[in-house]
Amino acid sequence: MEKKRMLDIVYVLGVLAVFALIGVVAWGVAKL
Amino acid sequence: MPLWLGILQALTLVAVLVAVYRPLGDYMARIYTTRRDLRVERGFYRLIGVDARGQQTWSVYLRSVLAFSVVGILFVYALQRAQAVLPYSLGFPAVPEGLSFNTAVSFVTNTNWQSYSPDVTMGYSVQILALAVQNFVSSAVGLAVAVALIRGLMLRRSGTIGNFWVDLTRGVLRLLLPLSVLSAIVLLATGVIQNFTGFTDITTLSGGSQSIPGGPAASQEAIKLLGTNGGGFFNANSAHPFENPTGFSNLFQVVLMLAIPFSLPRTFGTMVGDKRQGYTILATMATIFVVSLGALTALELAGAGTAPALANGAMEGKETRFGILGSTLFATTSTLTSTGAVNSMHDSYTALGGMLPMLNMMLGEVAPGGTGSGLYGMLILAVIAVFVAGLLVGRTPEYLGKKIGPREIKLASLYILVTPTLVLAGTALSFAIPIVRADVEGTSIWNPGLHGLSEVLYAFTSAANNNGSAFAGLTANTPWFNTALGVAMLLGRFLPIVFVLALAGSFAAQDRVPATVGTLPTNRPQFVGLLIGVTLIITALTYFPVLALGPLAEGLQ
Repeated sequence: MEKKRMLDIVYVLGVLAVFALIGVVAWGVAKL
Repeated sequence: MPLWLGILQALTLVAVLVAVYRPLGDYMARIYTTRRDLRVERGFYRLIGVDARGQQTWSVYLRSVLAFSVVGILFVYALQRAQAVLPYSLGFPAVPEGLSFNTAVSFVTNTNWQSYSPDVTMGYSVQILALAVQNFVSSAVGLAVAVALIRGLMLRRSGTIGNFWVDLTRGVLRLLLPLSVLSAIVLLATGVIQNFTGFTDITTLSGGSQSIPGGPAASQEAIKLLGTNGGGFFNANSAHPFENPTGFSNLFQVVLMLAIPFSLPRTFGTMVGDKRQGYTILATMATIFVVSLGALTALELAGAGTAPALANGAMEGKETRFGILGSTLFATTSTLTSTGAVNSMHDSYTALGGMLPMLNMMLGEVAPGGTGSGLYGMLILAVIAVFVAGLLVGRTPEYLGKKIGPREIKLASLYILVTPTLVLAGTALSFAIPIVRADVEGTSIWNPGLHGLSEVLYAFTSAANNNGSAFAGLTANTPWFNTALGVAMLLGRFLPIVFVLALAGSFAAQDRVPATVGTLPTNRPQFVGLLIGVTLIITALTYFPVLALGPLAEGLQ
């Protein structure tokens, strides 16, 4: 059960991390 | 299907698309330019606290797109994980974590890749509350981004490009919802099922037992195609007789996939005040579509071997009620839009025939492309074409009176580079990391060798281009593919949107320079040729090596 919850957290944080990366790219694009 | 019926089918399709081009294109232009809000829209804006008159800069518009999408992914993920306790779930358990992630990302990005069998994985609650809702809104997001780019081209010295929440709401309420209701009624009339009966147990003629799934297929089918989504209600997608029962329903589904994308050039032409610009884009899209359809049909009709010779074509993986002509029309439509629905199994096509759906996606799905995404992809290519022409013949690089400077060409170049990078890196990593390669070759690939490479290449091409179709011989419900394809879908959707909106902001901030003798006309036939050339050359140069290793080598065997 613990392992299952960990996977949920990993995927949710992973989604947030990818969007954060996209945000960083957008920030860089604004500086072009 | 006899040849005369195939020709009649093509002529009917052209006639219908010609008939809807002006009214639908002009209607969409009115939707996105009128200042009048419907009462239901005003209520919705109040509910979510949006000022409908407020205009957004490109970065605020982008933040709205990203915020809306991340919330959508988390909501769809949560619903799948909670499926076991939701009503109308048909007794299905919670969807596993990796598959929930992949599916949530897939439907929010308008990809609708399915690593699962919907009939035995998703209950009605998830299908309706999560997946069908995303079919509407992900499609409306694509339309909103395209309209924002058009506004960038039509506005002068403006710091803003519209309001995302207004564009999103209007796209759903005024366009997709009413058209979906009408389309669902037509689909019902053709025999597509619509019920909530769950599974029906029957005894077969041979005395065996069989469980036949039911469900609200017609209502989901309409937006699946109209919004260029593609995720099937049943595992066999539009090859399933409950989703696509007849030759007529098949043709109607093709019309649904093409109606909005092929009418958007009219919307573009109307909004920028030069309808010939729209015709130029339309002619480019239509030419690529016709050539691709002709090539695929010829390859499948000429399939080599005893069985194709006896069946008058390569019929493996195709439904006899659609034949080769109904199958290749659907496959071309599905992969040149961003739909990804299938009525035949692309994995079973001839080696070179199977390459063409892949190539359609590699073109960037711009002919005519997904709802909104096809148009903005083609406009980016137009910017590059203008720039290339400027280098070749010494013309001033400008498009619709907007100068193509260093910032604009950098943004267009970044847009072009994103998807191939994801496709090629994803495919390469699947074979370059030893532990992943062992899993891919041991679990996922059932056709080793050249065709196995093609299957993996197809998967990443489909994911990064937000198409969703598959060489279904690949078992993709594995930790590697669920995660890697999910990331490819996310980056393949939202990084291009970053560059498109930044470009829209850049154009909107400019004044419009008057056309001179040095300006390249972009509303004439020679620009159609230039645009087609740029589209093909960029794709061929990028993907030729990997295509040579996969389908081309297989075709030569």
